[in-house]
Amino acid sequence: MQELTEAIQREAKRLLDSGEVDVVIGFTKGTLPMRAAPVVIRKAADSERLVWGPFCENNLARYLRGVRDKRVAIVAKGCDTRSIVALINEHQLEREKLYIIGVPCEGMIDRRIVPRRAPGEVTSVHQDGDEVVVEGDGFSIRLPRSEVLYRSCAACVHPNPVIYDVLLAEPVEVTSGDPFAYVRQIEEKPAAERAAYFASEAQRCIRCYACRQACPMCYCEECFVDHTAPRWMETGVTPAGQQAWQIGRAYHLVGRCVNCGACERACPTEIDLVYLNGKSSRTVWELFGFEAGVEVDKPPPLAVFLPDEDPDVS
Amino acid sequence: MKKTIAKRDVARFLARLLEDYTVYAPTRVAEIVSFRQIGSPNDVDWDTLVTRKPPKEVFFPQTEVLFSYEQADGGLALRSTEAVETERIVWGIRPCDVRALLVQDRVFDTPDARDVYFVNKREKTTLVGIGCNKPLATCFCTSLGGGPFEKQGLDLFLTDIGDSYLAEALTGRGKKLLGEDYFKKPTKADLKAAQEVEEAALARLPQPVDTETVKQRLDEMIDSPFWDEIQAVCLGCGVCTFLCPVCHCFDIVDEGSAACGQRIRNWDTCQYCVYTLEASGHNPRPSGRERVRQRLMHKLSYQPVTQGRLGCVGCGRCVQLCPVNIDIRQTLAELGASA
Repeated sequence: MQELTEAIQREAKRLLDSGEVDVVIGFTKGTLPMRAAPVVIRKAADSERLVWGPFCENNLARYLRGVRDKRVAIVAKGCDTRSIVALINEHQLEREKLYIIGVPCEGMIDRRIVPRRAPGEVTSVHQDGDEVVVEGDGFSIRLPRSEVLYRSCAACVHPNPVIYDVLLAEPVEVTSGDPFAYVRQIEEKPAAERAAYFASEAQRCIRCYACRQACPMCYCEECFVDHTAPRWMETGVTPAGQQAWQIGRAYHLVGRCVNCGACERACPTEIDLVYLNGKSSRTVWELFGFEAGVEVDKPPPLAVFLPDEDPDVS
Repeated sequence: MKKTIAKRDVARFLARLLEDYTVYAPTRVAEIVSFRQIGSPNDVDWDTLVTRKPPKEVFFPQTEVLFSYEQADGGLALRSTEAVETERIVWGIRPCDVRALLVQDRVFDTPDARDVYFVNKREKTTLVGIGCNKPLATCFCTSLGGGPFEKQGLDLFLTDIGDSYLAEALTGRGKKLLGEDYFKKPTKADLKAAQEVEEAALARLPQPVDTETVKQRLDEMIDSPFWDEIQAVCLGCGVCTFLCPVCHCFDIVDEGSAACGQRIRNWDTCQYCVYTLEASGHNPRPSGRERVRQRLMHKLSYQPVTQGRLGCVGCGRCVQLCPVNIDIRQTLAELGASA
């Protein structure tokens, strides 16, 4: 981790010193255990603020549309690069203006799970090989890393950047598991049980829209929930309003979501958005054999019309 | 008046209260602890210090029907929802959240305007607070003039002293609760134990911030690049404001048809782009820069003037839950530092 941190700092400093880019978007040390914070570095001397580690959980591609007037370098793990590709395919970014500092990713640690496994308030967490060392007032425990990864990371099949200008480490080994195992596990339940599960998850929604704001693909100038004249949907935290929002958001991401999990990490009430988005991604995979953000110039299936395509799926 | 109650008697006491009161207390549902109405003493979560959502929603629900209407017999039938029938208790509220409620009182209950929906609930509610023996690393009430054993605004205050609670009645309402026979006269050792946990808690908390300096600096910072730095990473979501025990903005909408419907009040937040969007299309706070500035200015500069109290009580919810780790403590430290 320290080596990667130093490599990122060196690369950022080089890019800013040479004037190749105006800003570098990366992570800096957070103010809490298990937190790194997104940061925008403008001066070469500030490059030393950049860090890398198992808490760099945000999808930084989310910031790119906001700095389209600048030449930008971005520290990007597998999922961030997939979002970049998806945004390029939707003509939201120009590849030429971007310098992608690729970082192979071993998966991010779920800051919601770790405290539940600890006997007291967690004050420090660090990774030690395959284990995570969790410390607090009067305790120090070790947890297997594989048990405390974010669900989206545990299921990730693209941990390595799919597009980059420089790759700062050897690619990590890709586990060839079923990325939709969790989705299938829920799909196997009877319809009534699934509906009840969705209702109980959506019921916690406080409509803070952190899921939308954290998502690189949610870039509409005006979101459907913000449309007030006329209003398009219920406004309150009633089941109708909460479910309509969650379904509407998920539908708008069909074939576009890269399953990075940034929405779920941002959610203050821990709604199972990985399932909701994973479900649509699995459907798209099975109908179209398409994965979002893996290939440049391959637009999302719901954004193209082919005259000879199967009318049953069009 | 101070008395003690053994912890083993608390469940019976709560069960007794449930006969006469609607009781709200921290409960855990799907790992999220928030204040909800309880049906039994077993529903209470005793372990969580800072609930995920603040207890403000007991008085100011996120979505509240103000009235409903229906066309009937050639006329319009209106049904008001402002009356509160039963007496209520909020059990286990923390000093920071009470302090926040005192700010909300100055918003919803002023000589010029009394919000009946808020005031009716407040007037029917007895607040039973509990001190914080082990404040979290994200707690900073002491930075802003509060404290883990601050009692202002409460009716009854509990201090956890091991096998029992020391209960201090601060109002007539509180005293009424102490009339139950589970309460005993405290011993000298009980009082000493309470003093010790209070001192230990204070030792864990940060030093006061010079909030006057913070305000003075902020007042000269309308055009500061400081806001660009925060805006550069802020997502513009509603987490910090919705989960803030002080934030109280709302939006009123009518939902339904001409035949029947409801007028609803929803929480709103200055962090949303539509919050200040005018009918003309003009938006006086067009970017995240103005919006992050508004949040901090309101809490630390405007509210000390308009409400006579800071708009931040140091509960740490926004610190814990900001998706990008924006930390108001850093802002306070930067702005409050001596020049």
